[in-house]
Amino acid sequence: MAVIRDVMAAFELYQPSSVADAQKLLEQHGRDAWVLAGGLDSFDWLKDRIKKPKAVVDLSGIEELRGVRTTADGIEIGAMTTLTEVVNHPIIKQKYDLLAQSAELVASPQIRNQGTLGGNVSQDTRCWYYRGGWPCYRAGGNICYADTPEGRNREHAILHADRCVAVNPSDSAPALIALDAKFVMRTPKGERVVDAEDYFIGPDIDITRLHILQPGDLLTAIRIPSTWAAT
Amino acid sequence: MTEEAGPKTIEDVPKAVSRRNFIKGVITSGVAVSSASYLFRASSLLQGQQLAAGVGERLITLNVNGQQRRVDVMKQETLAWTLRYKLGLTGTKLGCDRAECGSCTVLIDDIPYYSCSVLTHTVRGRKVMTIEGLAGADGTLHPVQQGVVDEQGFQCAFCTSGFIMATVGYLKTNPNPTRQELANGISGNLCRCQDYDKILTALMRGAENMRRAKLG
Amino acid sequence: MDNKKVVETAKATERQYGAGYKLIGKNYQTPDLYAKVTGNAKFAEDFRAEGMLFCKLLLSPMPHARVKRIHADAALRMPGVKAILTADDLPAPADTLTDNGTVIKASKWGERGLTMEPLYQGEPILAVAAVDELTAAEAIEKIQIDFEPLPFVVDPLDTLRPGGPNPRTDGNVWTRPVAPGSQGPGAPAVTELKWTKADFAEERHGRLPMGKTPDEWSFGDLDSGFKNAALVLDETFVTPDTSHQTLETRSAMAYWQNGKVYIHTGTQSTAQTLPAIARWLNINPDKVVFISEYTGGGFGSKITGGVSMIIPALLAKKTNAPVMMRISREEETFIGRARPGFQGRMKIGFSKEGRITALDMFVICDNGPYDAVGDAPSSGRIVSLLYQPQAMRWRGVTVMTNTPPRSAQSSPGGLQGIVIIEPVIAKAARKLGVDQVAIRRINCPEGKAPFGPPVQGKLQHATSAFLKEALDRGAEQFKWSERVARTPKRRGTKVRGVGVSLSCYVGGTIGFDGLLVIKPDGRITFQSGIGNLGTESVIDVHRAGAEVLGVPWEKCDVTWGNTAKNLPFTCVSGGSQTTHAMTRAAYATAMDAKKKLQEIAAKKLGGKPEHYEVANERVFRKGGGAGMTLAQAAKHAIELGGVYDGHEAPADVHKLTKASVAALAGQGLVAAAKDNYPRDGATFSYVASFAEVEVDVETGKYYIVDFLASGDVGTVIHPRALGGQMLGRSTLGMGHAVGQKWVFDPHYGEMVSKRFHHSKPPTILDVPVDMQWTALDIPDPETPVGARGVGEPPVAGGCASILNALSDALGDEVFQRAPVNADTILTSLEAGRPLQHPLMAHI
Repeated sequence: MAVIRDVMAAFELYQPSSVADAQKLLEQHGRDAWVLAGGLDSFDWLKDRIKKPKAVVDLSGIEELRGVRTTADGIEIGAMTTLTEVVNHPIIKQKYDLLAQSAELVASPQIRNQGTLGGNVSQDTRCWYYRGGWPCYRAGGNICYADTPEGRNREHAILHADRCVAVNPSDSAPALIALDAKFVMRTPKGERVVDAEDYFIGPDIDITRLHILQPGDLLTAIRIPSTWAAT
Repeated sequence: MTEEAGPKTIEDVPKAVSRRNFIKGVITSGVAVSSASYLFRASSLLQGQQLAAGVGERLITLNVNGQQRRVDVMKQETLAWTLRYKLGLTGTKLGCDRAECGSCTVLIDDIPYYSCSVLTHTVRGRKVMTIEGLAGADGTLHPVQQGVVDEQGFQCAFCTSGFIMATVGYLKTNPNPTRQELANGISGNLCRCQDYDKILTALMRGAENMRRAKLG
Repeated sequence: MDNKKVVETAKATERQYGAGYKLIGKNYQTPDLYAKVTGNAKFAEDFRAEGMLFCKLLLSPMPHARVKRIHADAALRMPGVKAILTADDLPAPADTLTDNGTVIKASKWGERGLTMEPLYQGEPILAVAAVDELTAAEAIEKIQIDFEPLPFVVDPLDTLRPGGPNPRTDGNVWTRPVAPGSQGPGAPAVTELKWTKADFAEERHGRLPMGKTPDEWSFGDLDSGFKNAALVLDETFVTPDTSHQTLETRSAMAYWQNGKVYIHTGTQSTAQTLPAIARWLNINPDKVVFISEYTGGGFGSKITGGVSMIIPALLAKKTNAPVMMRISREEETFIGRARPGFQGRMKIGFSKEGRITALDMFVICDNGPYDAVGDAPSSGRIVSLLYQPQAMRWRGVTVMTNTPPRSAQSSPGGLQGIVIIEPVIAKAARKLGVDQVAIRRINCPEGKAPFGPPVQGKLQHATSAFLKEALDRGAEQFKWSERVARTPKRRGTKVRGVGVSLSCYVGGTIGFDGLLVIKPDGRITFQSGIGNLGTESVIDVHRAGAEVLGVPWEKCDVTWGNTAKNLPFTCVSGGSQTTHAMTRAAYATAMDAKKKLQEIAAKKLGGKPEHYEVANERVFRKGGGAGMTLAQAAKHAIELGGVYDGHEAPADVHKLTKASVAALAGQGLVAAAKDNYPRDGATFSYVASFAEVEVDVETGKYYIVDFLASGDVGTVIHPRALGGQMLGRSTLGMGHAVGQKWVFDPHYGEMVSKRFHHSKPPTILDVPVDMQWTALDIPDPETPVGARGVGEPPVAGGCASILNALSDALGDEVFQRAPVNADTILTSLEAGRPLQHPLMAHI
């Protein structure tokens, strides 16, 4: 059937106001659900009509996912906190400026106003074959189009290249790893906390995703210990 | 600009456009057809199914340029589309529809966003401001718009609304920027005529106009 | 993004232009500005109509194929789907009838908008009209097409290779075969050209193979030029294919009413798009109304709009409803035109002072699959003018590939030719120990400078050139010598470099018409057939007319943007010709108005016309005495009729102008004239471009610290608009240096660089916030107002000055193609030589 890369397919839109409600929706719709944070990654898939989820779960109404809180030992940033909020937050600027600087590198002001920290670390790779809808390993196929003698891969991996040579495009991820951040997730089995380094995975662990979130999981917050806080 | 009526059902679509409607639309001065109604309908995938409440289009109220506007909006509809095709506000442009060029920039609660990448259903209860909302009711230009006029900013002007809205939003956070700061602040907007130098001059002038307006 | 410090600026003093003029050379507020800043300016996709349908395109997934069968039943059965349009629905293309009666037969190889034999991945095969876009998109997905794959090729060298595939079934290059028994070359035709294995031996050494070319010219003694040279360099360079990326795509809206088609879309020429539409639809021009008051950029891609606009026009006819065709950004990447990349080679002999004694230029132009662009021949012409080689040979071939169609883009051929030669000159200057400005100064054109190709054994010549003065002025304002002398060039990992480049392009045509009306209320209306794509020439040129008539600008109106509004035959806004051509036409028309005013005054008040003068909105006896206002003269014109009020048009104006004159008859004093002024030479404008860059040799990233463009562009008409062109077009050129390019997967023949973030036009952060420009304001002697065009001349200099600054910072062993990116720099610095493939296209 012919391909057209324009005009989002219709979907049902759910706008829960709590993490618990969001989880119920994800459980209910299973593989038909798509989690929407800022949308700057999602809309490319949807407008290209490569992904056509039946149910989009919009997290923008969930207040508990927003904001920066001081904790006993550092800070906790809600996953839906926008990148602009991260860049401008007085505590982050003063004590964890590496994160503020890296968040400010992202894209453009408008994207930072809407894009979230959680979305930024969970975004999909931008390999132009994969994003163009080519049926490669990452898309569930059995080939990598970039990793051939003729493939165009100047912007792909030069270190740790594996069966897939796509790279993680997140600007904030290296800073969060350097700051020894911990990522807090809510799964169907309850809360789970992992080191930043373990949140991001390579093709040797799962070639179809860049991070450990499974369908039904939500990244709720990122905790930064005071280990590297500026004094 | 006439507000179009809500969408009709498929059966209501006229087989041929009536002559009277055409003549009503085409003014002798040659300015083209005025905004009129045309059809939007829910996806054919959902046709024939028992439609659950809330599927397809839904009537919502939006706060646009200080007015409450009632409009039928599809779940997957973007704010740019709603503005341009349902509210008659074509000043906001579609340059890429992919959050890369900034032509679609509007303010939502005074913050610049790419309206092509905002679902209209997520802006209920928020204030949307487009280029059409800047000038006064009597036609007096907003200080930033006036700055563009003062300095002959922009060339083809397709990027103009986006740049002006991005600037108005940015100046709220930094009313007295240097040229470099302003450039950073509006770096999410592309100008393919590459008029950046003159654009910066015009928008810096706009910033100056704003500061003067605040003073007196 | 880096927070760049502006380290130094060569601030041009705020120059005043237009000495001795009231309007020319002065800034003013153009009448379209209010609409632009309020969002009221309507572009094509802003129009709406009762019952409007939407259409979407089905693009070819294959680079070359034949459509065997289209299974569209499921799509057509969908509720809301109204019609489908395929190539079989297109009218046969019409022959062109030129103004002197010659018939140019329609080309069977021409692009038609839809096709049954797609020649590039992304080519539109069919269109579906439906009640909304969602339905149309779903309908497209329900269509199944059976394709027969055909051989394809994306790199010009691959089709020139012996045994290499052809992009079209009948060949791979455009030539003008001479029919047996005929005098000269015939109509362009697709033929096959293959080079030999021996030709391709050069490839092994990273040098461009140079086989037989269909086109070649030369002058001077090349052999002795090389023999006597102190230094001979032989360099290969590849330039990128860059999409025009007009911010407004070529969306179009169309409807029919009373047998006429009304089309809204962007264009670079309102007047000339109308006959193009008539040809594409094979209908009479008086059945076409074309509306385009605002166009979101052209840069050469919308010279007469684009043939894709007939898709909504034909669907509107089929469905008896208005049809909106919104072209997405990805579709625009495919059908929106691009500059052809060149694979080029220059062998140049230099004297010890750096004077070019011999130049052997060879270029391959990647044309895409359709109509031949003129970039290859233009490149030779421009290089021969700009560097005045004592002997020169130019060889070129325009090769077809299965890649999206090309068209001229701001300085077509000029950018490519100059970008290929400038790095060689920069290298020669270093090897000879000559200053970079000095080496360009001694090769600079001046006065009625000659250029190739020779016509009947003689070189042609320019109308004038003051580039030496522009170069000197630019070097002074840019503080060239100080920057060169500044040490150390390197601080830590940061290295500075400075570069200069010459630049030029054509700057004017002649022979078009002007039209104005002096109304009985004393206001003047200028009828402008020029496209409004942002250059402001649509309005600016009429300032020259108002200047001649001595009327205040507040009393002037300009009509533009709608062919139903009685416009004269106007040049296209391409080739930087508008300011030159249309100030001449405006001048001629104002002189015609003046003559008529004098005659009317003489008739009414006695004496001879030459006893009267026109000034201050009056025509009156010289030295004071009897007179009348322009308003009164206009009323008399209506009384007198005939030639005075448009009932008779001048015999030599174009038939479109005659129709417009007739339509305006009786409205006032109607003045119309063809530009018949003489011109000795061809018109060009020139720019000297200066740049400083800073490179971080650890990351490979660089930024442009400073830039200045110094122009010789004739009389300055509108300083701010001129500045917009000087810097805007320089920046467009810079894009070719800093990152724009196409990337193709050669195995599948599919483009992978489809989005803005893959091939980014320069953003506001890519350029210094304080760029400078200046213009000499010396009138061109061969045109009444002295003004020349300026859109294209700065482009090449924008790119080449950056490249030269980079090689100044990094040396000559870092890059041999553009654009130059961080990875290019890092890998070359590490290896000690350029590592990027020296010849391959689209990488």
